[in-house]
Amino acid sequence: MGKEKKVAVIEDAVQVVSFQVGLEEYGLDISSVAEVLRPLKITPLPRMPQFVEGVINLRGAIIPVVDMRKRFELSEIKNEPKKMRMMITRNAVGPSRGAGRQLLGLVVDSVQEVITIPKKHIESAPEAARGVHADFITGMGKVGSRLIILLDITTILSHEERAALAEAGNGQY
Amino acid sequence: MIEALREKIRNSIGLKFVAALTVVISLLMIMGTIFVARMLMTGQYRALETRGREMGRLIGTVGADAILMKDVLKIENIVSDAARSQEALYVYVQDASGAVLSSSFTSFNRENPDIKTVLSAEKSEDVAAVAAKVKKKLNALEVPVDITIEGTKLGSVTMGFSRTKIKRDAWTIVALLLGTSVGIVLALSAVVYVMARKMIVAPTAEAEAVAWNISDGDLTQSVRVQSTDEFGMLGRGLNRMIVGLKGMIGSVRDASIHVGSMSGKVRDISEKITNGSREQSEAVEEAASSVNEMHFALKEIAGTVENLHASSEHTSSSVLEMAASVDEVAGTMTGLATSIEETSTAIAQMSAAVKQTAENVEVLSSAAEETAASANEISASVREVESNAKQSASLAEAVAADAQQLGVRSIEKTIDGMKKIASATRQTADVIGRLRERSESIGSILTVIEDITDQTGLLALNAAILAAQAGEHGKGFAVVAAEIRELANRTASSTQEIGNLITAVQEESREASEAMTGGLAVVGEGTRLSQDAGEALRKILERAGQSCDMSRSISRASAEQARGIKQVSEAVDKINEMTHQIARATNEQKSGSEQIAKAAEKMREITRFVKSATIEQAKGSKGISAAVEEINSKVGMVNRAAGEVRAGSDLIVKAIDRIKSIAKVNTNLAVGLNDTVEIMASLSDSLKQGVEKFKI
Repeated sequence: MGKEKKVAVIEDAVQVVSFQVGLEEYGLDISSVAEVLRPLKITPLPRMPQFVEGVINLRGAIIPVVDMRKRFELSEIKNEPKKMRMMITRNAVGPSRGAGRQLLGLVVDSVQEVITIPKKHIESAPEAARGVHADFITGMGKVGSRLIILLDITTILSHEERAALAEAGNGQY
Repeated sequence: MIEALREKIRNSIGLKFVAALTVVISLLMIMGTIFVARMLMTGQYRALETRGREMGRLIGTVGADAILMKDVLKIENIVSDAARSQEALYVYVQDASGAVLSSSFTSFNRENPDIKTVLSAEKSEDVAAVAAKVKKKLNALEVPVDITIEGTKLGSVTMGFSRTKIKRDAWTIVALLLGTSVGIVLALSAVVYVMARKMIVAPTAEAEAVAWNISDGDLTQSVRVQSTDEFGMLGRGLNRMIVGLKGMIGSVRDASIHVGSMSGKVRDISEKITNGSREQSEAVEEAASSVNEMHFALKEIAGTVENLHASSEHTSSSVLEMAASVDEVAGTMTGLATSIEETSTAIAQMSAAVKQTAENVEVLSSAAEETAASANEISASVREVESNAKQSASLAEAVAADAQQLGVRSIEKTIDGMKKIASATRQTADVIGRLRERSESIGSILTVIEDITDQTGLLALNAAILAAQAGEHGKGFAVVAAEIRELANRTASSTQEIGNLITAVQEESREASEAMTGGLAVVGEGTRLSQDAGEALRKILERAGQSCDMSRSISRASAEQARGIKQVSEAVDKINEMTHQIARATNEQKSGSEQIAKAAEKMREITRFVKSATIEQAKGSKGISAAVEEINSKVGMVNRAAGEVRAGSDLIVKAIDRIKSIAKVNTNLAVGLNDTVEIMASLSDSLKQGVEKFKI
């Protein structure tokens, strides 16, 4: 369990915001979620990196947006437009991991709730599931019969991507 | 007086000459005198004018200075002298501007009595005006002269002269000339008159006297001829005439004596001729009467012969007529024979036709019987038709009544019901439509609610996140957020349910609306169908009425037909009866026609016999007519000879008549000759006496 140092822990439980992309349910540590919004208008910018959809204007702050469905290569799965949400996250962008204070918008199919998962119900991700591009999964939380994939916000974007995005947004917390 | 003079001139040649001469010479003299007088007066006037002009110039020369100086006294002196010159009436001087410089006292010749009278009447002092008046009244000759020195006009002198003396001189000369010419005319006339008397009147009177003597029969006097002019020639001609007349009258006297003796002789001879011709006339009368008697006798003979001829001709013509009529009889006989032949053949044909008729009548009779039977049958069937037609008429009436009472009314009710259903359905459809609209508006409200619920959920989530981030302090807030979130979730679910319900309501109302539309269409169709049914029923009614009428008319017609058929059958019965009678009559006729045929045969034989006899008779009559013709020709010859004799006697009578008339004419001529001789004798006596009168 030494590898779970980057998940915010309150006593012996972890509080996560659960959301859905495709059919699977994911969880992000509560400290890395700034706000949940209905999708805002995304403005694409010229000569933008391929993985970025564009930027949004949230109360004057310019925030780059990444579509998680594309990121997880699940864009073909149909979803309910009414339930689609935009999660504004902290710590995802910056020259180094955890160093940046810039915000990043994630487009997800729906946001469920704030869940408190006891640590004993969290298991590490199986080795087989951790590919070269899947090292952002920190563990699997079990809540009843549900299985929630816990993500590390700091590793969702690669080092180059973070660098590229460092200049794109100005939204800070 | 003038009439007497004209008579004298007409009777005297000398006076004629004198008058002509006097007129011609007088005319010439008068014309000459007038010419001379005019010449003289013109000359005098010209001389006077010239003198005036010279005087004017003189006055101009003398008075030029005075005019320049306006020396009135000198001008007055000069003017006064000039005005008193011979024949001058007035003189006045004017300066260049036309103002008169001489006074009226000096300007006029007051010694002239005419001027005096004019001036006494005139009060004006204007010399020029008075002078113009004088000139006009006394017909003065006015001479104006301009006074000029070296080309400059200083003024003018105007002078008036009297024409009276010149005229007086001219009249004196004219009187002298006229007196002289009258003297010349008188002398010439006297000379001419004397010469005419001596050279024309005296010889003419002598010749006239001799001519009067000759007319009285005195040829002893002759004209004394002295001259060799035209009157001399007249006298010589008269003398020659007297000599000729003397010779002629001598010879006439001798001839008249001779005629007297000859006329006595002629009278004797003519008396003898008269007597002879009278005797001749009587003899001719006698000859004529005897010739006439002979002529009458001849005429009688001719008449008798003619009668004979006429009677023979008559005989011949009647014989010919007889022959012709006999020929005609023969021809007619032949025609009769042929017609009898034809008649007999016609009779034969007729009897054959009668036989055929009898057969036909029998056939007819059987046919009539058959007709009667079939007529009866027809009558029965027609009666049946009639009863059937009556039945069908009553049925049709019943049908019509039923259709009227039941069908039409029920269909009308159906149509009304259909209409009500349609309106009700329409109302329902409207209500359902409104309901759907309402549910739709509820749906829109639900959408809003849903949206709010969603927003609330999202806010609750964010609140939960913030509460969690707040850690221990946010725990209570996290509970509230969870509850709000729970409420939002419940609201969402119930909203979802309501939405589902509304959708269901909408679906059902749409279905109901569709059903209503279908129902409306069905109702419309039903209405239309019931209207069609009503129309059809109406047509049925109409047709039923028609068929009823038709059945009735069929029934009526059938009744009439039945009556007609009854009549037909009666008529056929009658025909049958008559046919029977005809058959009987035809049988009788058949026997009669056979008898006729036999009689016709007999008649034909008799006719043949008569025909041959007639032909023989015709031959005999032809011989008679030839004999009569011969007699006729001989009598004709005798008649012609008698005619010739008669013509000869006619000629003789005519010749005798002509001779008689000639003798009568001769007698008349002799008597006329006698009378003429008598007249001639008396004429020769008177001639003798006339000739005795002449003295030779």
